[in-house]
Amino acid sequence: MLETVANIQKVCKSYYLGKVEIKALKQVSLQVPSGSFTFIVGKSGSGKSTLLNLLGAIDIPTSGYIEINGVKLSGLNDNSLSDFRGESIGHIFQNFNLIPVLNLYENIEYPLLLQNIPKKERKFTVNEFIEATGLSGLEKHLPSELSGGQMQRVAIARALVKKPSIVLADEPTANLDSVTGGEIISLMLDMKKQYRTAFVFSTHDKEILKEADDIYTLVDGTMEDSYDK
Amino acid sequence: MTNSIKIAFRNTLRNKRRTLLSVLAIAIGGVASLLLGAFVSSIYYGIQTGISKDSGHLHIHKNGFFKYGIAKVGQYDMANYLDIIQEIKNSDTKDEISVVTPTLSIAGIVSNSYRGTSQTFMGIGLVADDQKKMQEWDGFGLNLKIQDIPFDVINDKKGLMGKGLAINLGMCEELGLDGCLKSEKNSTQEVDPEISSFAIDISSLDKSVVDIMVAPAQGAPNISSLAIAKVWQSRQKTVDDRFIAMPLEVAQSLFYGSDYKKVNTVTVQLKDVQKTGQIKQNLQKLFEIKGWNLEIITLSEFAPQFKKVLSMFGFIFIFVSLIIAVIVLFTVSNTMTMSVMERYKEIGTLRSMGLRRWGVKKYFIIEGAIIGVFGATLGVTIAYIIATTINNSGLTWSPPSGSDEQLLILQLTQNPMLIITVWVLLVTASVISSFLPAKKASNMPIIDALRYN
Ligand SMILES: Nc1ncnc2c1ncn2[C@@H]1O[C@H](COP(=O)(O)OP(=O)(O)O)[C@@H](O)[C@H]1O
Ligand SMILES: [Mg+2]
Repeated sequence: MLETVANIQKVCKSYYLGKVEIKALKQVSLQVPSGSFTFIVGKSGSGKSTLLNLLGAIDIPTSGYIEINGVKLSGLNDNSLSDFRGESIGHIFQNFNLIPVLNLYENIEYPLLLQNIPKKERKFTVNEFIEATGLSGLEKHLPSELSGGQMQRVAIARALVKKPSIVLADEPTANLDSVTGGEIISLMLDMKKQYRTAFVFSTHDKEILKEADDIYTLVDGTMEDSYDK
Repeated sequence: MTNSIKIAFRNTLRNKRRTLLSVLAIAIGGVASLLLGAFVSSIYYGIQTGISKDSGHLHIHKNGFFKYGIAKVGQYDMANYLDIIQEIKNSDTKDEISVVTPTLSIAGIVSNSYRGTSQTFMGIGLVADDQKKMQEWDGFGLNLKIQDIPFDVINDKKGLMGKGLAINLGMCEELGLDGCLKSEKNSTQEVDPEISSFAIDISSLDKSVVDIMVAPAQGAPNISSLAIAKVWQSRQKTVDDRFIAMPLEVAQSLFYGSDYKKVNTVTVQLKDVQKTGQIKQNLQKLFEIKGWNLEIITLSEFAPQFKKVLSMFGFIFIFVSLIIAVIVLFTVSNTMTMSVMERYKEIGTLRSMGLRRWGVKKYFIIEGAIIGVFGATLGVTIAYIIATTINNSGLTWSPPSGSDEQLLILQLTQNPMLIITVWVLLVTASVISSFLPAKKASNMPIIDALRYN
């Protein structure tokens, strides 16, 4: 039985540079089943990041319909949308985007603080994820003292610690060497299996596609037919 | 909240040089504002202490004297002043009162027979012991080193004269002064026999004795002789050139002849000047019950220059403080804008994790508050050190309105309201300067914020 965690219908997104309209997404529709590994592939500039930002509720479509976890995003004001992101959506960035003044433990703890989880429970959950991502012993390290692979592991732990229903990862391996990138992907696969979290990736790395449940291809903002493995 | 403070505090340490700059800007602004405020406050209390010593706080007259007493000489006298004083001394406010004393103002001509000189004068008849006690007033605990008026020399037929008046009368030699004109020396030979015949008590050829002629309340002028025991230099030249203080009895006999038990003013000196209004009311009630038609004039009415000087310095203080506040605001908001811009990507990341707009602002507000608290506290500390150093260094200065040189005292610790106000204003300025750039950053679209590096 496949539940749908994200449902996108006929979404358009345009950017304006002065008076010039850039149509980044044209009538894109997409469904993400819960606990699935979905890949968005396409050349640079094809609209992958734009699509992930809309799925991640950090950008608003020009037109179309987006529903995550049964919640229609266009019906939420900024505070509700923030809270919704805090509860239900995890983000993993290409550049890791850890908070430099917080150490490894505190970076992972932060999403739980935002949700006012009690200290005891917080500690338990954070330690669980530090262990699951193989970061034990590095708790006190600042991001600047970590390698790229370690930073992305922290980012994965941070995205998953609140047990969201969907995690968006925009080219998560682009800034890592292929070996480390492979490790990161298999870590996320483990996480998906363990926590039944849906992952949506953007990538142009053909190597990692073999793990995919679904693959979508974007060409100049238009969704092509499903990629044939 | 503790977590927000932790994050904000660590962020202040990220660019230590810049934070230090903001802290120093706030501190320097604080020092300037506090020292100026302390100086203004010492002027305020200094002048008020001076007036309190010389003139007390409440002047009781027959109703109308304050307005018309100069023109209608003798019409506003109080014959029952001893009763008035007695009633005040027995009233329930007696514990609040330090001195109650009668005075009589007179005016006329003073001449020195030996020198053959004469001048118009303004005189005051007073009770020397009371005036001496008034000079001891130190209601603000300033311990000012102002030279007291030497009222103790006044007794029987001896008086105190303004230095300027003594010099104008040519009495330098006998009173140990410098500055008399040469031609007025040794003029005994030229004394007009008619004038010298006015001098009733000329038997002693004491050169320091002057003759005082006063147009009395009624009838022909009265003349009395008065030995000048000492001169005293008033803070105001117009007073210095005219002033004679004498025993009340001498003034009374000059002005009233035999019917001499009258004065025109009863001066009340309070222990606490703050209670002026309250005690004025109490006394007014007392006089009403007694059926006495008296008026009570307060310090701010009989010494209006005090308020003017005060409001001038108050204005300077507020003006300078405002300029300082603006400079602080600009400096801090400048550095805060840079900090915010450097952290756009972080702000975007935090927002994508679910932090609300207000949460972003909160971090920067706390950061501004931390910088403000450090800067303001540093400023208070430095100002305290400077004020203490100056107060212990024995520096002197001359206050406005021609007063004597006095010790430069900066009243900082005596003025907790000033410290608290400046501290709060500085912290507020710092918070406001960080709020504006933070507001801009928190309203930015998340994807735009994330794109910065
Ligand atoms: N903020 C923006 N303003 C203007 N144009 C943008 C903006 N973001 C993306 N674009 C444009 O939209 C198109 C899709 O971009 P993007 O989604 O980043 O593609 P991808 O992630 O696949 O490289 C590109 O042409 C890009 O230049
Ligand atoms: Mg992209």
